[in-house]
Amino acid sequence: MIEIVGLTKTYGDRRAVDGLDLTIPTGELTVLLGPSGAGKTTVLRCINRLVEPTSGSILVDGVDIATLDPVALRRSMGYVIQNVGLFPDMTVRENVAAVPRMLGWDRRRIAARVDEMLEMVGLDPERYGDAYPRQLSGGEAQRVGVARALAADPPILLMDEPFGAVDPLTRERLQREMRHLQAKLRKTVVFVTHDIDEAVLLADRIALMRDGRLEQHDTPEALWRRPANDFVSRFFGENLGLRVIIRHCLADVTLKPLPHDAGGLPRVDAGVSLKEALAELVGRRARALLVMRDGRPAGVFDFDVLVESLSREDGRARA
Amino acid sequence: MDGADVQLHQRARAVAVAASVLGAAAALVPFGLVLRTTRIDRGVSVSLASALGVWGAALVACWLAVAAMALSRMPLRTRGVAASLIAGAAPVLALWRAGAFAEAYAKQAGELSRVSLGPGFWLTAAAAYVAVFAATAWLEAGPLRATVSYAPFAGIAAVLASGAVSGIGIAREYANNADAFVRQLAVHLGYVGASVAVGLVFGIALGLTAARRPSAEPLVFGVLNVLQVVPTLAFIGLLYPVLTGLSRSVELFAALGVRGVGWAPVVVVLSAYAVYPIARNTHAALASIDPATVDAATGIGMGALRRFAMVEAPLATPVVLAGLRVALVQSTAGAIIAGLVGGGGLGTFVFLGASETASDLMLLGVVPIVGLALLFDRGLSAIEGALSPWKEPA
Repeated sequence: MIEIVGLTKTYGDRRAVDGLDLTIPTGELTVLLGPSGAGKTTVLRCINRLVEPTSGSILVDGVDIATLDPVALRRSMGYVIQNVGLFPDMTVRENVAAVPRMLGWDRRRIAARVDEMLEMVGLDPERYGDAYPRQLSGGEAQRVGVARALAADPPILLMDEPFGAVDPLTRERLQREMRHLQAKLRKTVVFVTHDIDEAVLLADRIALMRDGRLEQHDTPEALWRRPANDFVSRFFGENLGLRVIIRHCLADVTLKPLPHDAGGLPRVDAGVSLKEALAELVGRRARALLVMRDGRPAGVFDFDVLVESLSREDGRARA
Repeated sequence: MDGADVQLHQRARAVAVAASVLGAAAALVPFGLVLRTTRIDRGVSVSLASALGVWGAALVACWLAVAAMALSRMPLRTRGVAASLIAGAAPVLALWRAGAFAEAYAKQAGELSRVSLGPGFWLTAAAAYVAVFAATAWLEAGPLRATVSYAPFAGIAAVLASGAVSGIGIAREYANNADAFVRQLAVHLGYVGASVAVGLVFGIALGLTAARRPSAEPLVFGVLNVLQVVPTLAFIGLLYPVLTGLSRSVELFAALGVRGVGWAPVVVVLSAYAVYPIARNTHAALASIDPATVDAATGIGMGALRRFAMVEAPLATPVVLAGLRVALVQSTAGAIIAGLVGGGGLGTFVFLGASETASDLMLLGVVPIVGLALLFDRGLSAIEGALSPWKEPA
């Protein structure tokens, strides 16, 4: 658990962070969201002491990080940034091995771990292991960046707009993979972005910031249904509901029973999100979809099902 | 193969053709070899083509062949190997046959006569250098390219070692001055080594300072810029009273042989010149490192020292070496001045030859200097390449 208490950082007269209190639960992905200049990155960089706060403190599992050696502290946290920052003179393997090497792991353990990490982020170690960063695409480079951050298995992962510099298609794919990765690894992730869709898709909780202060800290569903103030509802806009439904999949909702003549309906897999199912309805100009689970019809999805599922209380289990 | 490669190959074509034209012209211009009745005679000039007879025709044919290959559709690999070998053979051939010509001429015109290599020959060598450089661009980097690049140098060395050219003027000057030549070559290399060593220490220190403290940058490069533009002789003149004063007032300096002339001002001046390119490149290398790389290095837990050793220094090294290369070439050429102020070195032959109007003696100084400069340039380029496998191959 990361507890941020009364964190303030001033640059001259400007208060980048202004008395922020925020608790980031263990094993959850917390997105720091807000317009540019809100102080998100400053907060993130205070957590690994790349920035020293003007006042306030940060506790990790109850220990004030100001009492720790910053270099050792950083080795216990993965760090991923927008411009990746791979070491251009090192191969992909050497980049991923950087932290384990500093921690003094033995050679064999490092080699095995590096290959495991590359596979985990979807890069073939045979093909990419000996490549240099200049030979990678933006998306591939950021996968290596994530692998490097996770190599020493740190409990905490800090990500500063990690997918901000890649093209939209790659970004979407990386976001989806990040979601699966986090479902598996359950790290304590602090993720900075200004992209609402990215925040809604990835976050367990969103901490919405403005001018260095916290406006609201809650699940995306709660931000949608119970915005704390005007700024929150204006920031997310009218269609936050439409965005939130990407978090829930057809398998989570109560479908209508199968009719007798369902054969003519367009089919859709139970694994897709409500957003994709809705897009399918619109795209096919259909009134209903036949939901398939494990290759067998499981029920019918239509607009009534969607409205019904939204009217139930939020905060349900995610896909 | 991508677009950049194709463009490079096309450009190499144009360069190779231009070099071939230059080479053919060099064989035909009427000052290929200079025939003198005595060592200091003005002499008469003849073209390589006419002096070398049938071999002269072969020389021209070599260049035509290189041009034809450059324009042909031959596969890159074959074209690169054949064109560079033939172009590289041209100066070797010219040198070898000029040696034979010189022997024949000596029999006819007497022992005191001389045959000197004239501008036509040096142009041939220059054209070959450019043509080989262009033709090897058609080859992948690797042992094959290295072999054909250096084959011409091996050829020249073989001809020199065979004694086939002992009748040529510069070789006879060498024979007359062999002991002095070896001694002055060592002195010359000493100047280069000393000045570059000083340049490295101060250059890296000042470059680092300028990179770490941007406020110091204008001062550091302001001073170095001024040093850089003071002409060598004027610089030595300015140092004269200082060094003379030092040697008079401090016994240690006097004992070391520090005087207003001789080796001391040469080392000071060459060192001052050598600092600039190394400091510049050190600064540029560190300034050009992506801030994201430094941020990531710090963020994953590298302390300042480790970050410097593992990230910044390896990234900067090739660029610093490029600066070292410039300093080496600059010092190699600059050390000529020592010959003028009593400091010895290869410049001795240049200035002695000039005062005697013995052009072969001047060449005995100049040719090794050019050779050394090329050697340093090539050698350090190769080291830079070997140290930076992560970069786009040049």
